[in-house]
Amino acid sequence: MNIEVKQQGDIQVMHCGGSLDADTVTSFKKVAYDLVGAGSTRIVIDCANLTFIDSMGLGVLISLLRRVRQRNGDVKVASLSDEVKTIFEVTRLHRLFEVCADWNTAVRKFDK
Amino acid sequence: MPAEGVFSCALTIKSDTRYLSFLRQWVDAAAAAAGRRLGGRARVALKLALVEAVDNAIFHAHGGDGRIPIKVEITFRDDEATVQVVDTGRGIGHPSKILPGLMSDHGRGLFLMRSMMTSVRSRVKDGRHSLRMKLAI
Repeated sequence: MNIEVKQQGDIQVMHCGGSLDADTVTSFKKVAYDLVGAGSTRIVIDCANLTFIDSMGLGVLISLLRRVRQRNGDVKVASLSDEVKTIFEVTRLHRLFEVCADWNTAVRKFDK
Repeated sequence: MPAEGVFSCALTIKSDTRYLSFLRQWVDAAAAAAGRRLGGRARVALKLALVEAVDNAIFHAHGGDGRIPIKVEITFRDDEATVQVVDTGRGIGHPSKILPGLMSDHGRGLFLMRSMMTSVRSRVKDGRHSLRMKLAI
C-alpha cells in the first residue's frame, strides 16, 4: 500500500492507496502511530485510492481511533469505494467512524 | 474431471501474506474464465472470504510458519460459487455470526466470512482442516 501524509493546519490527512490487509497493516500502523506519538489527535484517512480492506485492516483503524479518542481527538474516514463501504456497513463501522464524502469535507468538519 | 458447466481452479500457496493481493486478482480471473459477471457485492464477498480464510490459516492454523502450504480452490457452478481453503489447523468450529463489540480491534474475520457468504462449513479430517464457503450468485 502507499500512504502519503499531508498536514492541513493541525489535521493530518493520510492519503491511502492499494489495500489495507494483513500484508500491509504493519506499515499503516507505523505511519499512523508515529503521527499520534508526535501529538496528532485529528486524523483523516482518505480512502479514495484504497481498493480493499480486511478484518486486520479494520482492526488497526479501530485501534488508531481508540488511541486518538483517549487523547480527546478523532479519526474521520473519507471517499470510501463501494467495496470498502460494503465492508464498513457489514461490520457497522460506519456507525463508529464519521464517514465523509471526501477528505476536504472531513477536514472542514474538524474545523466546525 | 469437473462436470460440464462447472469451472474449478485450485492452487497451493505458502503461508505468506504476500499472496493476498494475488489471490484477490485470481478471483477476478477465475470468474472471467468461468464466463461469470459478478455483481459488486458477490465480488467483495468472494475476495473477502478467501482473504479472511487464508489469514486464518497463516496466523492461527500455521502460527505464521511460512513453510506450511495452504491449498485454495474456487469453483463456479450455475447459481453458486464455492471457495475452499485447506490448512493443517484444528478448525474453527462454528463461525460466529455475532459481531464483536464495535470498539474491539479483533474478531471480525469469522464474522465477515459468515455474513458475506451463504454458507460456511469447517471440517477436520486426517489432520487437514477444510473451510468451505458457498455463495449463491
